[in-house]
Amino acid sequence: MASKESTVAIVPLSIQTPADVSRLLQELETIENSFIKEKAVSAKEKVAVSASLQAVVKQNKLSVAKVSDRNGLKELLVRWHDHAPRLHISFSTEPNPTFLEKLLFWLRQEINPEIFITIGLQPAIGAGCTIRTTNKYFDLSLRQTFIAKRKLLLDQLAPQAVPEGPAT
Amino acid sequence: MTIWWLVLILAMIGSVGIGFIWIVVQIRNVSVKPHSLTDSVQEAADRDVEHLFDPTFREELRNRGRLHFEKIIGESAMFLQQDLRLTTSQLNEYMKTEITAKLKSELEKYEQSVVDAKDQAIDSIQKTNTLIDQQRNELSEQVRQEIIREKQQLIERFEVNMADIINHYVMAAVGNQIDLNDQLEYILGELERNKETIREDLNNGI
Repeated sequence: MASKESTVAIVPLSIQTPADVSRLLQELETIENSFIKEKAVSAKEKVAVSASLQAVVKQNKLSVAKVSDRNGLKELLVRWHDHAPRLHISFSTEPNPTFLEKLLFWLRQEINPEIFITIGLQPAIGAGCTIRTTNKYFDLSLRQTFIAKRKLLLDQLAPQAVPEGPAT
Repeated sequence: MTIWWLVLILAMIGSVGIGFIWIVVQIRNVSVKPHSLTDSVQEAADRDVEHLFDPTFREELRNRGRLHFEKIIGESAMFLQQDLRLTTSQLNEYMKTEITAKLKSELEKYEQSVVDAKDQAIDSIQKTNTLIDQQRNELSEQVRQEIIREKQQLIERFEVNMADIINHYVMAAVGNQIDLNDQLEYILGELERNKETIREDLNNGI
């Protein structure tokens, strides 16, 4: 598992936000406590693992029953929680999970495989979104597109909006 | 006029009377001379004269003189009347001519003054019209410039806020028909354009 810490772990698409990672950490803590209190065999049978944690465990080829894997998983989750890159993305409406999964899939494929996002709401955006990274702000809204293509709009509107010149 | 003619006539009558008295005095002076031979002769002659010019004859002469005088007076009055009529006629003619000329002159002056006043009024009206036209043109130009400026301001304001206006319009028109899923392609395209910048910022920020 020590070798997996240095390599990039696979983050399931269901784990989207740092809050999800916090929940996984809390769940892993609970599982760890269960294993400490109970005997391992019986605990393995009793412990209920959430779908999200199961996805993490499965995709990273780990097992919650093994102490070393649990330790590795914890380190992984801590790393994700403390050091994984984050994006704050704002939309005009609440995005649905499917949309977020598609978006996150692209982000993890193109930007960083361990990236997490937090979602904000800004109804004034209209269409598109705004993204805030560690140091920067990206306005990817339709309004910004219109501003960027202002000249094109002006060229289209100018013939109809030319003021009448002085009479000659 | 009548009084003057009457005074003239009375003056003539007075002068004729004075002449008659002078003749009588002269005749008397001739009859009163100093006694001498000549006086004697004279007296003799006077007696003859007295004899010849007895009161009857004198009275006859006096009557004849009076008739002659009356005749002269009548003729003079007639000539005077003729002169008066002629003078009156000439005077009337003269007055008529003078008054006509004066009236004509005054009428010409009046007509000229009316023409001058009319010209001045026309000139004044023309100047007023010119001034009004000028002011109207200036006002029209100002209003036109103001309208153009206002229009330009509106256009500039529209251009400045165009993106917001169009965005607002698009969202108001079709905002409820655009789902986030429909926007995914657009968002991913925008992310693709900024991918390198985002990645670099995330790597530097970690």
